[in-house]
Amino acid sequence: MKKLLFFACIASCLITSCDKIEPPYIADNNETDTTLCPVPSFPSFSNPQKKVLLEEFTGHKCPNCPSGAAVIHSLLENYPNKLFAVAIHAGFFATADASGDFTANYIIPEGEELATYFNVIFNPIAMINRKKFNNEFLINPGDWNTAISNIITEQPKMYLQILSQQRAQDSSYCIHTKVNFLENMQGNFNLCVIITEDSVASPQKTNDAVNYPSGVITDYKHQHVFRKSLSGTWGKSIATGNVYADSSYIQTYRLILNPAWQPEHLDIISFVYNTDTEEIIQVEKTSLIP
Amino acid sequence: MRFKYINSPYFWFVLCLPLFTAAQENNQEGRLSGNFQTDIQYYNADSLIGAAEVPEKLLLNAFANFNYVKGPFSAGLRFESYQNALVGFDPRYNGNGIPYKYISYNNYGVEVTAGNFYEQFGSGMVLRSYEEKNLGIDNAIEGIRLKIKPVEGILIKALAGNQRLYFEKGVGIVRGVDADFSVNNIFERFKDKKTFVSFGGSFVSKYQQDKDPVYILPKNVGAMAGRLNISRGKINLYSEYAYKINDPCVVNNYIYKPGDALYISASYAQKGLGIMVAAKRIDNMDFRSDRSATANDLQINYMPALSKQHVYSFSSMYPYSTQTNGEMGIQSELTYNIKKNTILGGKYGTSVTVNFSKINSLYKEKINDTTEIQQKGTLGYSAPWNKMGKESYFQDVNISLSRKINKKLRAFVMYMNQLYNIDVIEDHPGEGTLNAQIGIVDLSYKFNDNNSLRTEWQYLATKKDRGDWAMFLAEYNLKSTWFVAMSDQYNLGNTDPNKRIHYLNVSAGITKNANRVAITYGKQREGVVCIGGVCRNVPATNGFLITVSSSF
Repeated sequence: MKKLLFFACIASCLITSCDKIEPPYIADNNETDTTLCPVPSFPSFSNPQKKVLLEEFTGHKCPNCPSGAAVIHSLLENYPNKLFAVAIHAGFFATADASGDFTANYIIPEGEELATYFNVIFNPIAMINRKKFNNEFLINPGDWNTAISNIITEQPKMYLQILSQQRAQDSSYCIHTKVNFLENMQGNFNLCVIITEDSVASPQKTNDAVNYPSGVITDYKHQHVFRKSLSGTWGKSIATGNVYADSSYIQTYRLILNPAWQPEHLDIISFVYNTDTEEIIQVEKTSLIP
Repeated sequence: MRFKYINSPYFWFVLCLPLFTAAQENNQEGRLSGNFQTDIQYYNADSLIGAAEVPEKLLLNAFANFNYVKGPFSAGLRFESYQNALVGFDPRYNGNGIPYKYISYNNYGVEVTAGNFYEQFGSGMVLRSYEEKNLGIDNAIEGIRLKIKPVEGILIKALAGNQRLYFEKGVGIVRGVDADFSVNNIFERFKDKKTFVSFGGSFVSKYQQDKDPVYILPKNVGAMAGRLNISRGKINLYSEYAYKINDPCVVNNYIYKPGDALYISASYAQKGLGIMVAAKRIDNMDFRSDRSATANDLQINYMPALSKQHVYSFSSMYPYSTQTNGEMGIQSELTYNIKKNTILGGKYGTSVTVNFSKINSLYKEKINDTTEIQQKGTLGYSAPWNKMGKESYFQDVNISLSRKINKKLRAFVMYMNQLYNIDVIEDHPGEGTLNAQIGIVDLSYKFNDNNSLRTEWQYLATKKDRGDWAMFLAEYNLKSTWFVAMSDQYNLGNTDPNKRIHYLNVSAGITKNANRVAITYGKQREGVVCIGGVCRNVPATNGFLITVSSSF
């Protein structure tokens, strides 16, 4: 009887493992009608450089994460305007409590989906351009600098430009990203456009018992918090198959601000990755308010 | 985090070691068995038959299985080597590895398998994991499987894992559970009944991330099936129905329509007479653990074939490939043994087989005026059950007679009429439907206990594709050990006179104990090989083929 019950449990778990999708089947990627956000002229570019994105998985209940954030801060100073960071609050360490120190909720579905896809089970850990280092996407803080230095000297294959314009009519923002291919390439390329916020104040656990005997930094400033993806978790396809040098693609999104966000602390990060290898080919960042 | 040593042969060797040493520590005998096979082919370029130049000149496929059984425990592995893969096999096989390894124990009605395994639920309509070397198919699951017999007459299986994709694994996770109930064994009062009833049910779910930038795709796709088998005396009835929820994928052009399939067969068998009737309806039942997979990659299920599996070269020249996106078909077969010492049956009796199969398209209707049938990102179409598609995909009518003429001579004669929709089956739009008439005569003459000669005479007549073919084969067997053979397939009806080619082959081989070596030299025509409705293209080749097989 116990065996039958055991299999009945397995069967019922499986039967609930069905995702029935109702129409419409098209994902809402916030793609904007360019009549609301006319595409402006992009300035010509020169001196393209390879840039790198560090995606850190973190959480306010992770005691080791402040030290990880300190490493990121140091790396950003070492690679100014060539390295960008996003802090993805996802998983067990990022959950919000109903009361107490950790009521802030920085979890968003896109961050959870990334953490699940890349099998994140502990923090702090990061991906550097989603490129494997020692055969793993997820890299420990001690190897972040090495992984970055391996990539940052590569020749750039794309040049990304971001323009942010506030609409006078409704205070929303039109965000345009232009991808310029610098060489012939082959593959499937998606463009992701995300919003991050700096200096978000809320408590953070720490293992620094000397300075914080309670184990909590109450006035902690969370940096590069992943707030929203305008293009969905996996971005939107811009090119497939053979892509030729000098070809370019523009995508436009309209961002309606969440009242809880501080506009002056918001940044736009756009990046292109190869969907076959996951590797980010190029990334760019700009402030929402130029 | 994945356990990175799981694919290491050393890891498996260490894991198996206790089994081997345990065999030595107590006196219970363990048993090691295995087999080996290699196909080595040397290729000549031959532009006339379309055989491309092979840079390596020589290619080989090889594998060796080793299985060890000791009491309730068993363990095994298969080493495979493709240096490089033979022409016609997917180049992703190139290399060496141990893609199949397992440890299993079976005790007190519980069987646990860790590692790779093959499995089938019912007739396979929601899950069939199998290996077919001739097709280059191996969708073994790597994971965990449980089989439990809680009481006599009930067998429950549960499994979870990833499917093999050449030397890699598919991205999707497959989970499944199946239960089989034998009514006569479960209930004491039915034990002595003449009617045997069994039924079963399966549920399989696959998980794959949705990274599509355009469509909302289901990450978890479930498929379920129910089956019933009733037999009484000479009659046997089997039916299975399967249903799958929305599963947009490359093969169905990303439509969201649920799929279903029904298979029914009935048979009657008594001494000298056999009758079989079967029917099936398939609607959008392609089911893979990666929605972007094509060809024979990562198939979770298998749709039973409904056309006769022919063995002769010309009767199998245009085989049917199951259309998992939609088809309806029937098959019937009658086998009758005409009694010996009668006018028709002759001195030794004659066996007559008549077989008929017909497969048509599935009737599909537009879901509304603005949506085309099978349009991407829509419900696709509707398919009422009471209507049958008008397009004929395949038809095969064949009659064969097998007769022992005297103590030394045995004859087999077959006539076959075939309709083969090239547009659909080979996905070559515009080529239409081929009608072929095929005649086959197979004569075997036994000189004495040690020497025999077998000849085949075949002719295929058609106005399409490459036109008429004629074939002759002679095979001489000595002491059931040695054989030499020659065959010639002549494409005499080709509309291009330059392609009226003789595909001549000579071969010889020896079989001794459990070892066999054969060598063939000649030309192989381009074609399609199908087993159970699953097919692989075979390119034209010219060269030597050496096959060595052995088992212990």
